Amino acid sequence: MQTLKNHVTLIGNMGSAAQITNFDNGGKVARFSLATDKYSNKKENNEPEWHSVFAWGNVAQFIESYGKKGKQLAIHGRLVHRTYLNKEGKERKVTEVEVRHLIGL
Amino acid sequence: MLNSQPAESVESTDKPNHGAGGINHPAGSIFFNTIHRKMNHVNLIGKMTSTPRFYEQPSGRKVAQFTMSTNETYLDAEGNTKNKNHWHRMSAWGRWVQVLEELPLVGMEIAIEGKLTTRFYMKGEEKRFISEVEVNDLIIL
Repeated sequence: MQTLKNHVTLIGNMGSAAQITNFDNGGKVARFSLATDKYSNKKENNEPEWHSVFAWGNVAQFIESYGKKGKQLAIHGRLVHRTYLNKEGKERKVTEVEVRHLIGL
Repeated sequence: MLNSQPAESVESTDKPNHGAGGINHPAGSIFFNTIHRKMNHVNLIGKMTSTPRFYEQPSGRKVAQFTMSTNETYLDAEGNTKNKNHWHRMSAWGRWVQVLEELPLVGMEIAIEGKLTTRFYMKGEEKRFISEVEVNDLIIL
């Protein structure tokens, strides 16, 4: 029910293998980028739209074993915003998709 | 001239059809001519939190920008209910610009269907990326 008000569906290809982070408490996060088409029904001049995606727990474990460059995924999740400090120590905002459910196509 | 029109429509059915799974669907159908190998779909229900800002792109296309917030409730470690707001940056063009110009929607509950897009702008030497949700459909709740 948590994704009723904030819902994202993406089908696309992985840009690279997922970057896995393991935490001390056993948690796991997989981060990767997903490419969808910018213009969904024009064949020519179709550059990809890149989305940054991350997943927790079991889903992350699945991506660790399954995820490779070019693998096609269907994702269901929600839109999340956060801030981080870049190399120069400045604050930057990013928008990401947090995966809830995932199917490898 | 009138007689030539049906002939043209017959011709268009001979064009290669990029329907799902290579099945030949009736030509001219907007549903079956779309390639569904990729998909980018966002649904948001929440409050509109800012007055829209309007600007015109060099191409002449009018764009409206605004923010909306979605509310989420969750239980923390002690079992208390907590509220959290996510702020989303939205952009709209086409007929939605006119709608947003005419209706004072700030603070109202809206539902949005759209897609996630990323663009960048230059701040000095630095490239900065922004993700926004491009509005495809909007409903006032």
